[in-house]
Amino acid sequence: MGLKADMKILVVDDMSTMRKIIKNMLKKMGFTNLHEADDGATAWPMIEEAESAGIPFEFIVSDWNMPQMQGIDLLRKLRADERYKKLPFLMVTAETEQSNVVVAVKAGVSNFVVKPFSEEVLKQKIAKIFV
Amino acid sequence: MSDNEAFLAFSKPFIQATQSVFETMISTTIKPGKPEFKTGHSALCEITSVIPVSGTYNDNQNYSAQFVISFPQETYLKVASAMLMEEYTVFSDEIEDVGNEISNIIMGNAKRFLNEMGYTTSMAVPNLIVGTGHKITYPKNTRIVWFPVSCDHGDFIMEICFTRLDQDNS
Repeated sequence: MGLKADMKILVVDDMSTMRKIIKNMLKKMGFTNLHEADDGATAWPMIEEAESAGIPFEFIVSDWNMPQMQGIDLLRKLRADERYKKLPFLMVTAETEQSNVVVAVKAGVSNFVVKPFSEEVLKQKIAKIFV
Repeated sequence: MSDNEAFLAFSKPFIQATQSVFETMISTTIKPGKPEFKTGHSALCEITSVIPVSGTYNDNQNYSAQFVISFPQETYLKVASAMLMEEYTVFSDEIEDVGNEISNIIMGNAKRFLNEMGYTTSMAVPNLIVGTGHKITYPKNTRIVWFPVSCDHGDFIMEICFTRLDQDNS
């Protein structure tokens, strides 16, 4: 799967600052079709509605630590559904323990970025998903 | 390890993490000034993010601690502008969680260093307090170290407090 500017991207984070940072970094990379949700519980119906409407999300960038539904739970819910088994999913987290990486990999994460990160690092992480 | 040595060892990860966050996400280096013990509970700047942390060290001795980052409004606006890549000239809802996001990332990053040093860490949700002379709530019987920090966007304050619960509160 290649990268296209109008790829439909959902940024999921409970902190509006981090949503804005990620969206602005993605904009600077040239992406134009950006959407946001404030946690996994909000993201899930958006993903379902987009799928039903025939204009599905093509890439999810999600924080790990969020209220209601955490990023790891959103990832597991997606991977448990045949329609979203291959939906590219980049996990964002401040938790740098090795155990988190292992858990996310086992759950089917596409890649992982640890806060703090620069635009260049985010770009590299995305590029590795879509090679 | 003496109390001072324990305090110093505990503080280092926060300084390292703050340097990393400011360099990576705010495009500036920080220069921490000379640390001093703080008396009183008044904030030293107008916009403060407070993040309590607790846990164990040295085979289950309990500790309680807190990381505080406090900005003059002018510095806060410049830091928010650099971090969000948009210019802000007034404090508003749009940038009110910038301080908490910064302290959250610093804490998350410091947690890794602390874990490597043998500390377990449980961090609370950060809290933002705004206003001149506002009060900060600290853990009971704690000592507080503060130090001025400068960066390209202006000066700000960092505070770290650390209390060995088993020793001080028994």
